[in-house]
Amino acid sequence: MSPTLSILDLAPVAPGETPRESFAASVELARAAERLGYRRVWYAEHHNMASIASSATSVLIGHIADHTSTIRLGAGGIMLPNHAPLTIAEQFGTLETLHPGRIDLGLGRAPGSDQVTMRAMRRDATSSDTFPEDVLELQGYLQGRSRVPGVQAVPGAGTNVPLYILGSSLFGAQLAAGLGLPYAFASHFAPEALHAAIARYRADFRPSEQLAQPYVIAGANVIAADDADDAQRQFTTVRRRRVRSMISRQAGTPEYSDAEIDAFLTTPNGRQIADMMRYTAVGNPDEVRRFLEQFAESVQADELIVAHHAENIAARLRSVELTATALGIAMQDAR
Amino acid sequence: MRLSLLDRSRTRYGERDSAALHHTITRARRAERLGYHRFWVAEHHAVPGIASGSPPVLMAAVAAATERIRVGSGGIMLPNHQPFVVAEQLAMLSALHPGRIDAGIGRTPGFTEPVRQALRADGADDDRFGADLDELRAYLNGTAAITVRPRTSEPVPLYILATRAGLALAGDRGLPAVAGGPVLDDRAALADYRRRAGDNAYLVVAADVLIGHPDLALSEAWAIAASRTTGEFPPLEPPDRDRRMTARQRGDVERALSRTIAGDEDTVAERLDALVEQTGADELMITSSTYDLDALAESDTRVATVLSGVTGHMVAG
Repeated sequence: MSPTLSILDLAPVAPGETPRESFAASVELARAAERLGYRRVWYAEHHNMASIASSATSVLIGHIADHTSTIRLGAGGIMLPNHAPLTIAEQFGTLETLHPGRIDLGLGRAPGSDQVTMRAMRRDATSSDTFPEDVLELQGYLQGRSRVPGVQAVPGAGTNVPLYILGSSLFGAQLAAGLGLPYAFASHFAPEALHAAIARYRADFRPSEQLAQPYVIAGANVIAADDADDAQRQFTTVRRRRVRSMISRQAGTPEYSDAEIDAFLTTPNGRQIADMMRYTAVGNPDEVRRFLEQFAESVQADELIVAHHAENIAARLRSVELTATALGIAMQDAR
Repeated sequence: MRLSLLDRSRTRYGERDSAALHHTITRARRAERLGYHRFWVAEHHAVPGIASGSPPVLMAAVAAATERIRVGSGGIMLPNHQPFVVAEQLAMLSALHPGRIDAGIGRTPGFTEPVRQALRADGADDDRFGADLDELRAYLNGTAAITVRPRTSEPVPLYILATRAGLALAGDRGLPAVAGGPVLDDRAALADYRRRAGDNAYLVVAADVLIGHPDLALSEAWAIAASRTTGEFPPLEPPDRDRRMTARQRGDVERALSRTIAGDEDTVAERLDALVEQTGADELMITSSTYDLDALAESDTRVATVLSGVTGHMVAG
């Protein structure tokens, strides 16, 4: 049986595109996801990155929610060490109040940025040490059972916005298990610990008010096209783009050429970067379906959250459509 | 003269808090129809009677529900936030709604120490506010070491919510200022602001104005008095002339009423004329609310009409 399918929209800004175009594409993508039967669309938190437009995640979620009507929307995720738990409770409390029953809150503990940006966020390397306590403080606000005397989230208290723990290591797995929260693994860019982390999560899971059984969401990348060769060609473009953004030269010098990038990909460092996209379904709808079903089976995922990469906005929307049809998620809803 | 509205998303007795946010959006749509220049929300934390805990998210909802009116927050309280995060929120709002987003920057921290700690806010001295403000401006102007994404073509305009010290600080930076309450009686402070700001001087005068039955002003006045006694802002209640009050509460109510410009068109026009004359206001921002939503809608409508008659000024189209 096909797993539940969701989308991670990184709000990419392709070369030559403006952020405004990127946001318009995100609205279109969310509308397509709603129409096609995807379970949810999540947005990430990235700072100081030219190729990604989603910085103020809660503002973007609000905008998308205003332009859709039923699909669940959320953060995948808020990097909690960057923020005060009360501020996040107020943001997502406001979203849930305006869009009841549609808002998720995924929480991660990575900075989502570089050292300079981290200083601008008034945070340091120790800020993530209190992640478990910060999650509990946030949960208390949203449940209307504040752990901080004299402080409640308005709006937010009692909205019970569902929390998800995001992770790419055993730390997140243990935390999600201990708190009885659903666990979303970032296998779309950090696949290394996938199997170990999910095994640990399932083994240590303790039921909670929010969740009786473990619930695993696994991340993957998809490039689906009508034609398999076209999908492979787009994959090459997308991978070069990603490598280029990770190893960019000093400002002012020309960017690496395609040939230089391809040569770099054959080096050990290059292969390591390429391996970040290990879980990427590339091909025509049949190939993508087979890949995703096997992937979901291999980790017993309850849900897959998929980042659709493509060389441009139109191709990205096509990938969203083809994948939904191939996995028959529109029919699942009808059953 | 430009006319604007600030809505604090006050909750109402007998209603769920969530209704307050929807009322804010409804009021913004109406303000746009009536030709108001801008519509601002507010920032309050852990105050049960005020539902605007997250200005950027509420601004996004207001901007999405309207088409032309400028949308902002009065304010975003900088001691409660990292300037970089504020800049990202404003940049994203501005990318989504180009040319429509403002930010009123204030320096009021959370009301109690636990709230300040929960916000991870660490004090609000003058030096720090000025430095944070300059950092925020650098991000928005694109002159900082870090690039705030998404990049926008024009920086989001900043307004300083000014106390006396804030007026000087705004003036020195050539920024527009928003002032209300007792500072408006301080002609020297206002003149000093204009001198410092030079050609960039722009004063938004904030005032509680209600046209209709004078008792409309009792809802907010009572809430203010009650908050002084209990420490909690209660939801708005219907006006009650015969409410039993302590002498201290009665004093608080009377003081609040004296600061509200309420009554019929003639009364309000006369007092607004005087206020504009006294302050040299470039823009009036109406900050009032009342329990009765129909009366509030009626008042917003009548205020827009009256302002077109205030000496020498026109309602912004």
